[in-house]
Amino acid sequence: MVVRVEFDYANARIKGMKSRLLTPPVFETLILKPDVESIIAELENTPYKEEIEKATVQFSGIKCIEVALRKDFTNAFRKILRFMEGDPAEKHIKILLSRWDIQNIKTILRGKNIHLTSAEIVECLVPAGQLDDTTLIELIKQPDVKAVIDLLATWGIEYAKPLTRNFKEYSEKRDLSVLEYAIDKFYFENALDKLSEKSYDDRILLDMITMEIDVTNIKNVLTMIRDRIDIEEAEIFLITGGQRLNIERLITMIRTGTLEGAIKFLDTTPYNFLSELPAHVFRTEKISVIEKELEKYLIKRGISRFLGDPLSIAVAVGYVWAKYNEITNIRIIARCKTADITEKEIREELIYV
Amino acid sequence: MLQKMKKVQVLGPKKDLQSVVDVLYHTGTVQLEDISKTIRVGETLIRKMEIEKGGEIANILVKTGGILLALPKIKDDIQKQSLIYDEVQKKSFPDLVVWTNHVIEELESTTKELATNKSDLEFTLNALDRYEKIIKKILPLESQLPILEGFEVTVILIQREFREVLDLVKNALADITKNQFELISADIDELTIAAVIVFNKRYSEPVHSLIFSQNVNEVRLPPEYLGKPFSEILQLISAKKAKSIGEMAVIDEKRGKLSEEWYQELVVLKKVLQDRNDEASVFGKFGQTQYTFVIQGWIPKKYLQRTKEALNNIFGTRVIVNELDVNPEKMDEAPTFYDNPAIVKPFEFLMALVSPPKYREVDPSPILAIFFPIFFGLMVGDIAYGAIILVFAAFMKKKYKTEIWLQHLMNILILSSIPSIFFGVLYGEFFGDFGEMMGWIHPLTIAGITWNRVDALVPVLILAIAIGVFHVFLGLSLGIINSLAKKSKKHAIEKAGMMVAITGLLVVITATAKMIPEILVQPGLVMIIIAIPLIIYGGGFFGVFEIMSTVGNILSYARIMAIGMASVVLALVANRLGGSMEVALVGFVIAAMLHILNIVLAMFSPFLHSFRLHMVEFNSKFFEGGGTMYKPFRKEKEDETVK
Amino acid sequence: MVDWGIPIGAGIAFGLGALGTGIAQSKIGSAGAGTIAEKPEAFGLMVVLVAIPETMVILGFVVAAMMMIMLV
Repeated sequence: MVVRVEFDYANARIKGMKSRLLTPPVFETLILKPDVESIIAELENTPYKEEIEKATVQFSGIKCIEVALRKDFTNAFRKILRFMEGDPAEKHIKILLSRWDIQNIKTILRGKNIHLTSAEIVECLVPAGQLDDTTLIELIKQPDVKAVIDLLATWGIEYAKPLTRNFKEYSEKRDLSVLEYAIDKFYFENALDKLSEKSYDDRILLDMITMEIDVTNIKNVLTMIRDRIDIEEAEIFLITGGQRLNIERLITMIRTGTLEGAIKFLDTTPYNFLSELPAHVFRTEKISVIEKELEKYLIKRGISRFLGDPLSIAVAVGYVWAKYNEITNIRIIARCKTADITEKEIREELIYV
Repeated sequence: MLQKMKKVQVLGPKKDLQSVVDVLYHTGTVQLEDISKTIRVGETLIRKMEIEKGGEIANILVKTGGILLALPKIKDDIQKQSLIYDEVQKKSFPDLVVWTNHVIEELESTTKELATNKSDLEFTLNALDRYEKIIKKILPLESQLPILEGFEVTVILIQREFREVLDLVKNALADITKNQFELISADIDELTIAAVIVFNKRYSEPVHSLIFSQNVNEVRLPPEYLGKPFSEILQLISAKKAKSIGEMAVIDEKRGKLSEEWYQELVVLKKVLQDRNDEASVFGKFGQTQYTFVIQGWIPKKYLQRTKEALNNIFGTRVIVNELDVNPEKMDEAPTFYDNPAIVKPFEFLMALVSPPKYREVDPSPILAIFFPIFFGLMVGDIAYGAIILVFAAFMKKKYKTEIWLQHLMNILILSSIPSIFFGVLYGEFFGDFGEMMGWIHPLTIAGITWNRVDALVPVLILAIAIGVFHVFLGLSLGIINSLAKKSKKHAIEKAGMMVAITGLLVVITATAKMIPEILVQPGLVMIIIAIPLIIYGGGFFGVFEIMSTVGNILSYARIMAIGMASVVLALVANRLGGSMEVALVGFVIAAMLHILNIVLAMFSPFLHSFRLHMVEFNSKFFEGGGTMYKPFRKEKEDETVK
Repeated sequence: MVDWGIPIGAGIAFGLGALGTGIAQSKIGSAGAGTIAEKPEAFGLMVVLVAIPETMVILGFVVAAMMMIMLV
């Protein structure tokens, strides 16, 4: 018997934490609230109470909710990391969390690329991941893409590496997808590398990561079809190591030249739910709708890990995704309230599990 | 037993709602139910009631809570708080809102400013720390270079795997600056090389665009440090850090002062607002039509009349109380309200630790109240131990009057110590065999057996198992009653089949062991054969395995004998060890210590195991649990800190 | 010559039961501690759950005691 982290203790706690996640009736109450202020008041009756109260001192409206959500997410994963300190499980959680770091760095780069204001960029960040406020604030302060990358390097954050390496190509082509692809690839390769021992828990996480690779590839393929990218050029934007879709299949998908045609190739995979999307999505080439569906799928699969082996990392994986889902849902509701969207539409946007 | 509950609907004109709620609140008998859970949208004319003022309270509550959290916590001044509390209680609701808004106005902008400044300073400090770290690494390089007027210093970071870039940069620099540059490089950690370049300002632009085009990073520093030597930057950073820390101290001082002034008031306001908020949220449970309100809830049958009268006295026929017919399944949602004599109360508490019974179930607490002390007594079984436990429990009960849970536990111990003394007489134990050695008492002889627990090991074991059979059968019988109450015939048949199977099994075993005539083996087998189809009918194929687990449950009652035995043996050891000492005093001390240890164990272990026999072996035969306790809508006891 | 067979047998009966109970309780105990840390109201249930495997050592003890008393 190998002495490992005491999953019995840690997972019991995580399950306890999960039991405090908001239930659908609570979300329903939130949806029925007329405005952001009353959502803040309602969150007062949930486990977000303390962070919401703290945040109201400095901020109001959406910003207050976002700050509270980020704090709460941070508290949750710090707590989990504390149970798992010094154990391989810690590595797994960190891999999981870096997904959102990548997402935030990409958001910042994108913002700098099209010269958004700092406030606009902050609004697009997801309140999840490991990068702390200091880092994010300082990154957003930087004047341009290069400076962001340099600051990452200066502060010794590993994501500087792929970005530096591909900066030259980016500055020649003026195409941000070069950098986005580079950092995605770095994340996946790094994750696969860290999980290469293929221990039991490694495999649980690998399953999730390889699925994410599939999802990222599908997104890239569809975008490239929309943007009519040459096959030769397209090939380098694909990431190896996917679960169901190898490079060959992805290339065949690109060759079809239409979104509908490409998605037909997914019929035998778990991603066939995409073909059920209404036809106008494909006609108008609305990739964002498809991306949202894929994201929903990832979240659902992530949360379903919760039903995995109760004495493995699966429980923590499920929890982190469930927590992410919760904060995403709260954000959606809060934002829809500022944009006068009907309750029915909000319900469609949410992801219940 | 549990109280009979009735589901009621209170209907009346909307204008009376507030007063009806007040009456119900004072009567304190109705457990309110959220009506939106029972009506579906569009199904009836009843709509969920909007909470008036609820939003307003919640908003100022959040703000008050926020301000309170932004200020440092200081000691609660109970006296001052209760003065403020009295004053607040005198206020009407609008006045309370005005008061709170005034306090918020007074504090909001200041606390906001302080909190923002503080978090800005924290970010600055964090960022400075990180910049400082990298500068310290590069500093040794820079000190090797001359600092010249009109020259620029730039630091680049290169990943080690791109070491060759360094030469490339050097060559290019030589071209650009016509050899007027200096470059020193060194590894600063496992992954990175830092290089400091000094060149004439004249070439600034081409040099930077060269760096820009390579796989290297420039060290980024806040703009105010650009162009300064690193040693100076370090000094600037530490100066700024010191300044920030100073500013933080000033902020903290200001916060402290605000706390001194406002903390007590804020605590009280928050508490009052919280109460009002809870009260207001009650309205969200009600339904409404255009002119009337609908309140729905559960009420114990015995309070129904009283409540009706209370409403009738004030509102006459304007407000009606309807008793609703609830189909039996829905009765599972009825709250659990115990109706037991006082002696059973502590055992209700014990049940609630795990899960209270559902409304339609048999309440196990009275049975627990009978058997728990008996099991405990059978295990402890010592006159002296029982007496000491009795005295201890009585003492603790008197000493900690406010701890309700302790009161319950001590009551259980008191109730259990009496059978302990009783069985002590049976076993003839007084501090183990000390009483017998002194010739004070002797084990009783009943049914031809002298009930000395060590010698009569097997009879005690058989007694324990027999108790187990009885107890488990009792559980199964209750299971039949519960199943019938829930109209689930299948389960009733399964339980009955189980009883037949176990009886058959017992007959076969005892007959084989020649404890009863051997001829009974066959009838026993017939019983098992009859029982199995019943069990499969009621509980499916896996129900058959339940026979084995039920047998295991019965054997589990052997713990009554085993734990008792362990306790006796420890007592014997105490007496022997104490007796073998040459100095009597030493012997006495040793014996006393061991007996004390044994008593502590005796309070703990038999307690736990008696509890467990009920929760696991007994309850699993009939108990479902998961009921909700009856919680009427009324004022809770006031918090101790305020008032 | 002392007959060591019975005491050794009794020792095994008791010892293995105790070991099994110990392993089971350590697992349940740490899970229980985790649960109580998050949900203190589960305390009563956890006490019962931790006590469940004790049946093993108790039956072991009964068998050992019977061997020692009835067979010697």
